[in-house]
Amino acid sequence: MSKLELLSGNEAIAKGAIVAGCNFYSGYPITPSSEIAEEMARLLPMNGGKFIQMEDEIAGMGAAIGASLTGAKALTATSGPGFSLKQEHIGFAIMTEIPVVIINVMRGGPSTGMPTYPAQSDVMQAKWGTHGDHSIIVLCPSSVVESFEYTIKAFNLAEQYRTPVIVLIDEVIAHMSEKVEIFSNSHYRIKNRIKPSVRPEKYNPYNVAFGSVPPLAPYGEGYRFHITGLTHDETGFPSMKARIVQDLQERLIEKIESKLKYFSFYEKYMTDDAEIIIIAYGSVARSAMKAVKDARKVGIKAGLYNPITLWPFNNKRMRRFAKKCKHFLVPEMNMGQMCHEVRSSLYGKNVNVYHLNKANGELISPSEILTKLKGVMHV
Amino acid sequence: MLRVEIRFAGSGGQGIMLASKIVAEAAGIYKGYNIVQTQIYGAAARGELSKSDVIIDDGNIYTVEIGSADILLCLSQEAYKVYHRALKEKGIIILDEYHVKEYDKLKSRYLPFPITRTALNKFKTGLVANIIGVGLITTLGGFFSEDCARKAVKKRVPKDFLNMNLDALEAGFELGKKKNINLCQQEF
Repeated sequence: MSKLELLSGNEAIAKGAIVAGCNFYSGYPITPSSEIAEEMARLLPMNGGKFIQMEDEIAGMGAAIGASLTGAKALTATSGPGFSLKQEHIGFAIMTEIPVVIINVMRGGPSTGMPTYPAQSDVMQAKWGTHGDHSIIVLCPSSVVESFEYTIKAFNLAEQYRTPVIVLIDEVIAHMSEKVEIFSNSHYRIKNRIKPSVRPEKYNPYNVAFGSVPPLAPYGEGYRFHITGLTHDETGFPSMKARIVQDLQERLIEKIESKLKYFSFYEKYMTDDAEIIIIAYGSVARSAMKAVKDARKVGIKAGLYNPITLWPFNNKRMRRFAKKCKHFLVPEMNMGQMCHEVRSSLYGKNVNVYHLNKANGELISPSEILTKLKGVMHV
Repeated sequence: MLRVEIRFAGSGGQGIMLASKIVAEAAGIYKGYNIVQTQIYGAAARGELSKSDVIIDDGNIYTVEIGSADILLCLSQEAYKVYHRALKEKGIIILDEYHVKEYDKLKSRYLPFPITRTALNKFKTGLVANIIGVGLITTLGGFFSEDCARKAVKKRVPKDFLNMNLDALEAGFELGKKKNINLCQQEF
């Protein structure tokens, strides 16, 4: 049984969260993400969950982390300026390994920038917004259907890897409406965090004896343990011993990066024989898809690669592309954040990486990409 | 192959968004086409220019913006001024002659209708002008049936105002039928 619904990206995210088992939302509304808060405020009470509007974005993030520690699946949503505020707590969630999902509906920046216009300005902030070495999972959908699906995946990944997961979405995807086919809950594969199997007095919150993701006990079920943003040993109490700190730092990165093949979501179109591959994500991937189709009609062998899992960026796949393809074009609605990553992933390869940047609140149209393709391929 | 691009324009408060969502719902959910509905989300207060686009396609839709429209619904003079040039060669403009006083009367594809006048006369309020517009798009476009439009109105309009809006929709159908136009059957 399924039903078709006309949903905006923001509404689809809220519905996806509920399907994923989200039962807690805390946040502070901000354009263009406010509809997520509105929809969660409506849906959560009906589904046995709690919604709380906090005094600011920092508190919104803090409350989500606290709720998650009690066993809830927690969500918060924001946009650029609010995302900046949340960074301190995102770092805390990374360090303490607490699952939480953060939606960032991107708008123009820096600062308050352009609240109601689309941009892809937070690609690097999502990766490196918080201080310290870490790895983080960032997903970037390019349609309303994908917004729904990847919100569910975001919750699953957060639970599976005990980590914050960020969904980056363009303002235009968040606010436009498309058809979404929603099935009954049993249709979707939902993952939950591993709980400890030992007795409470034997439990250590960072015991990695059975893998790089330690089981997490919910507060309130008899397990007492310490949580700190300081570097810590397996008991959760602070430790500055060089070997323990080094192991922790390495594990925080390794537990995500070594599993990339299980969640490196992407979309590929006509890349096998492509002479130029467009690397585009979010709404730009849609324009790029149209541009590739149009380019093929005028004899340009173009292809599209849409890295839906933006972070960790899949360098291996890029290097495989570079075996056959010598030209890459990265159109994006910022001044070249992903282009930088593409270039570094292809370091040492004899290829050309071109960029097409627009950060003025306008979308990148298929014809702009096609014109650029014609220019660089001399057609 | 079917591809239709419809633009709704008027001033904030006229229900431009609601009208476009109803058309998207009728074409997408009830008729079964693929649709994309977008809007300007400016800090537009009541009375300022408001615009929303709906793309209807029987295949995949990659673009989210429309360049020029097949149907432009204009509910204000400013909307006409800003958007009337972005019209396809075989497109039509549906004008509310109550609000749009100045327009090119020589153009046979610019179609004036007493939209707000009908709303005021029949329902004592201009608020349902948007729904009359939906009715006009239904009959002049012919991309989805009257019944699809009725279902979409039922789904989107608050219950307390449903009957008035359904009547307004019928009024829109009637206005549209006076002109013998069906864009769906003409070559695009």
